[in-house]
Amino acid sequence: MISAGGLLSGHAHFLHWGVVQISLANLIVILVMVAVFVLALVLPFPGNHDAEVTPSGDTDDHV
Amino acid sequence: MTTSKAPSGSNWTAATRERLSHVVPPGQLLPDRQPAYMRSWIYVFGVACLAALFYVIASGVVLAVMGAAWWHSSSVGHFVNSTHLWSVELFFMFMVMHLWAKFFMAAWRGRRALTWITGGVAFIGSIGTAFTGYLSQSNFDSQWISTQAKDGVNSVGVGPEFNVLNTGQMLLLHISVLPLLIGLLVGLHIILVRRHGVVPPFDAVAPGESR
Repeated sequence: MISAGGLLSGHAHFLHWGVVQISLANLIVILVMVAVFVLALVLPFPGNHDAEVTPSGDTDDHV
Repeated sequence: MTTSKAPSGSNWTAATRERLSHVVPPGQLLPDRQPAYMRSWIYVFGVACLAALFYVIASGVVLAVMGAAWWHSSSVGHFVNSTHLWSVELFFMFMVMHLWAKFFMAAWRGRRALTWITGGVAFIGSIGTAFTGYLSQSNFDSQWISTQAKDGVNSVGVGPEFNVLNTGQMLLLHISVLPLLIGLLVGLHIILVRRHGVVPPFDAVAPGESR
């Protein structure tokens, strides 16, 4: 079994694509951030859905 | 006992009080209602960033009080040191996602340019603060980073003022000067957000604004 300490203290894996070089760990973090960003756009926000979003942005249109 | 009210602006306390009362519109400092268009997870990254920053500062205060020997040798110290690092990682992740969101919303619209600028400067300042944190670990990692960084810093001519091999200077910058600057910038950023409101989507108008 590989412990977290052993995994993190090992040599970093790097990916090469032409002049681009990035560590696997950094690539995974960036992909996770992109995934979280997309999920934030598409997932519904919990709470009161009575108020409707209107382009006019009336002052009583609050949540 | 009777008191007399000095006319506004007649002394500096009254002038300051008067000025502070206009910094944020009444009821907008800690609002309990938000425009309906904010009912989206995309608006959560900013406050998530702020929550991470609070933990960064709190864990940093604990590390500063307990000292380097504690965070190197004690298991609790190791844990707090690790949470300090990972809260910084979360701080930067949330800050970058907040930046993506605000960039695609063109959040500088509607007289919000200073809000955008203070956020951008705080981002750059945070990178410097994190860098001095790496140099303040007092271990072989910080020693390696400082010797690698010195050539880059010297090549741009700021080595005499910003000596990455001077651990004392880096530590004091990390725990006093830079957190103070970041704190002021973040505070100003939040005041500006409360003052001008959160930027609305392109097809909406913020409450109190006109097209």
